[in-house]
Amino acid sequence: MSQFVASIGFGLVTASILALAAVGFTLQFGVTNVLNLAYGGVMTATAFIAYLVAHAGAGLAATLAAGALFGAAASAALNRAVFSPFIRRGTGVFGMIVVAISVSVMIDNGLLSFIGPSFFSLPFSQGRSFYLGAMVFTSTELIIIGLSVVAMLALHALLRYTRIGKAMRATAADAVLARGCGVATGRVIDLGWLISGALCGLAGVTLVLNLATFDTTTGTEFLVPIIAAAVLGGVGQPYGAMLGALIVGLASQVSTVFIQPEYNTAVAFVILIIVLLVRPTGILSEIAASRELAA
Amino acid sequence: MSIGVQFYLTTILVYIGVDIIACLGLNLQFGVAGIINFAFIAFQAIGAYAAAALALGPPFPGDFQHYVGFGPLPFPLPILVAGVAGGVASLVVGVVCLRRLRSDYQAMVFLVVSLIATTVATNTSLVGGAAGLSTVPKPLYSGLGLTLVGYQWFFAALTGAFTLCVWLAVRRITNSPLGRALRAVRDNEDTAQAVGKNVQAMRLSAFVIGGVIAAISGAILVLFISAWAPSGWLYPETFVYFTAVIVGGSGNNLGAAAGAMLVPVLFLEGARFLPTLVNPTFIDGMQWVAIGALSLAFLWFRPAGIFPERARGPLTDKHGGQIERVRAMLVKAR
Amino acid sequence: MATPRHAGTTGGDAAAGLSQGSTILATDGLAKRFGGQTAVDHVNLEVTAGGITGVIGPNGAGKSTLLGLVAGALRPDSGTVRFLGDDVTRLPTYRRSRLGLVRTFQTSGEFARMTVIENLLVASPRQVGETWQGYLLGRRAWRRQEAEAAERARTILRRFSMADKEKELAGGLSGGQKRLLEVMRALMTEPAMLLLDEPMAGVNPSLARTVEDHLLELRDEGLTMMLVEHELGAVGRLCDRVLVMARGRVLAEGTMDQLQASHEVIDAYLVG
Repeated sequence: MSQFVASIGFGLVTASILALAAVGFTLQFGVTNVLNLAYGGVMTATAFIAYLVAHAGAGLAATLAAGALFGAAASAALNRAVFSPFIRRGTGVFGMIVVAISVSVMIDNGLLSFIGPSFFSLPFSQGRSFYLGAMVFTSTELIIIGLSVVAMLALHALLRYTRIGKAMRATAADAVLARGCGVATGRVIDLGWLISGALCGLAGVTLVLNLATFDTTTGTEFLVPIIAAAVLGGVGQPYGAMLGALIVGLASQVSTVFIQPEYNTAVAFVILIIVLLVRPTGILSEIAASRELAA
Repeated sequence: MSIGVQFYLTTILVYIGVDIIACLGLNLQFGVAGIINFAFIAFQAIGAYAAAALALGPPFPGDFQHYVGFGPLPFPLPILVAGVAGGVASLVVGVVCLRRLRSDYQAMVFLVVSLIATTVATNTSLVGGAAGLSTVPKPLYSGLGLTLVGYQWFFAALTGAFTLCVWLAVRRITNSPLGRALRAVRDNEDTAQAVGKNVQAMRLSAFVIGGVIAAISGAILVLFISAWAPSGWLYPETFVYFTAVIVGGSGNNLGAAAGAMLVPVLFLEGARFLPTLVNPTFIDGMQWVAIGALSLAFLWFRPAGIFPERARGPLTDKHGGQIERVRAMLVKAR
Repeated sequence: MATPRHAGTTGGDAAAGLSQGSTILATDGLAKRFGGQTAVDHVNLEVTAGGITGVIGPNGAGKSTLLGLVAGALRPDSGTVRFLGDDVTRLPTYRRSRLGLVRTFQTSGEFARMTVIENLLVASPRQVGETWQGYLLGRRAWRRQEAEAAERARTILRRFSMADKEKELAGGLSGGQKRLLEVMRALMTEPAMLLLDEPMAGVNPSLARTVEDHLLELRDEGLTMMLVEHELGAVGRLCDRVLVMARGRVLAEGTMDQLQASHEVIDAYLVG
């Protein structure tokens, strides 16, 4: 029983990292209608930036900040340099997904070329352990959870109460209509990629903070639970992604009590399959349904 | 011709054959039926593992490899059964994933399937885990009693035979009303329904046939190189085939074959001739970056590929209805 | 009196025994809700064979939804659809098409990467060459059907004065030509009944007249049609019988003249 409760603790950490990642991913889809398969690659790149920054002597906070900044810049640049030009050209969704995977392959293998196949880790200690009943958290893990919660609240405030947030929601709901109503969709899209990119960066850093080692494939491997969480919650809907992250994160850790630990990505996969069979547009399905992702 | 050159030449020929077969299968799924199967390489891998396991037979006690095997079966059974395995796997995956999903959403799901397949193969002892399978016996090797070089030529000829069979089989599809119906499903699902086409069934058939072909290509390859491990079929490998089909010209078999010769062979094998300037990992990685760039370049400048799909009329017209003057409409894709 | 057969107009075996005046399409209590909104509210209608039935009404009245339900693109929450006496409610669109109930689309429904003639050929029904048996048996099994279909397709193209466009890629046609292609393709399926979704939408007046003339010709040849349309002038010229929908229900029916005199109908259009 205590093993079960402990796994919930681990699940919350995974869910926190996953929330940062999945919300970023889903925002990019919401705002540009692109399923950015290169997301994992950007996370990996950010992880390596964090590695460099941390080994240069920066503390945890500075490393996280660096990660967020790099993620934001890299994602916005990616959209400006690659996705937007293809979209403006009239490339349909059919072509865009091939573009996305091309970029993914380029980033992953570009990193591999320069960095090589070795494993790395961030030089931060996990810190003290805190006990909450049968759950145990290191201070790093608590920081990750805290960071995630703060980010989610900040995002919620942004979407709900600021003008740019409303503009983003409008663009996600109906880009053509939004433009017609005077929303500066170009700027909204840029900002959307900056914000989601920052989340991507934070996800990348927290991911490798929580792993013993990482290499150039770590980010793309994490795409499986990211996609599962985003799809479960309803692609394009940030609150859905938060919910999806919670479920997938908890499920993948709690399942290790019953099945072998190597299979926890398989759990995310099973969730994805179930969602596709039962309700392919996800829990909060408005955006996914309006984009006709599933019939 | 020196022995070394002969070895190299026959190896290239086998790879060309295998890649043409794979690209024909992928073209059927992607170019003709419009399914973006980002898990393609996993089906080639299934074929390879099946053929290997059947050629090896079950592991003996104390074997260094742990896997599930049967037989060993004599040639050509491993290849044929591998094809069936690919078909069955495609059927299962297809029934779940080929629902009415938007093409990119579906492609993303296939990517996840591929990543999971790699995880399962690496972490279980179904197919030898991370080390994979090796020491796979070459078909008819002892029986024929050829020299090493002689056997190489034999295998190259064998590959050529299989390539020809697949070519004829696929061409028969594309040059028939069935191929036309598949293209209709690709171009506009709703209209295809409105003219009486069972879209779900047609897509699934194209997917399954493509899976069988993918598996056959894997089976032939593994019987040649005698080994197969998860590191050799990561998700970017699917992408090489996609680039090949896009560069060569999607939607037509000639394009697929041309792409197969240009991209996997020229690009990847060609790099072997580059002097080892920097460390090999760098060259390796940069090859992939170049492939990615090539793909983007073609998607931008020439989405129809080198050999664009030809316009057609009635199949009973001359040339099977193909219209001589190539009217390539820039494939902007849906 | 059986409806006369004509290449590319009347339905196949199903319509062989169809006589003028018998019910070809009937819905009973058909209803569909989207979220909280009722789009179609328990509609009962009957269409008799031969003639053109129009469905008009203000925006949001449920006309397109009704068409979608009849065509099989949407599944009803309740109610049934009967076509040629058979219950087709559970059948998907492609099965209804094979029975002879064919629809056209409002926005371009062409196969863009295929030529005009291919667009027509693919619509030809019961092609052996499209089956896996046909594939295994080879060209000999479908050669004759293909030649006959080509003949039919070319006849239809000549009829609609588009014979010279045979080898053009459908994606490159003008809007008006695409609209004609819709109708031509529907004809290739040898329909018993055609469901037309706003065939005049966004079409210039002279082309609209051409389309109207073609539709009237088809009506005279015995093809039953139901069309959803906003352009009331065309509806008046084409339709023998018109249904007015508002808020998901059939408000009134009759000839265009009768309806234009009705206060109820005018109110519906004003109030919406």
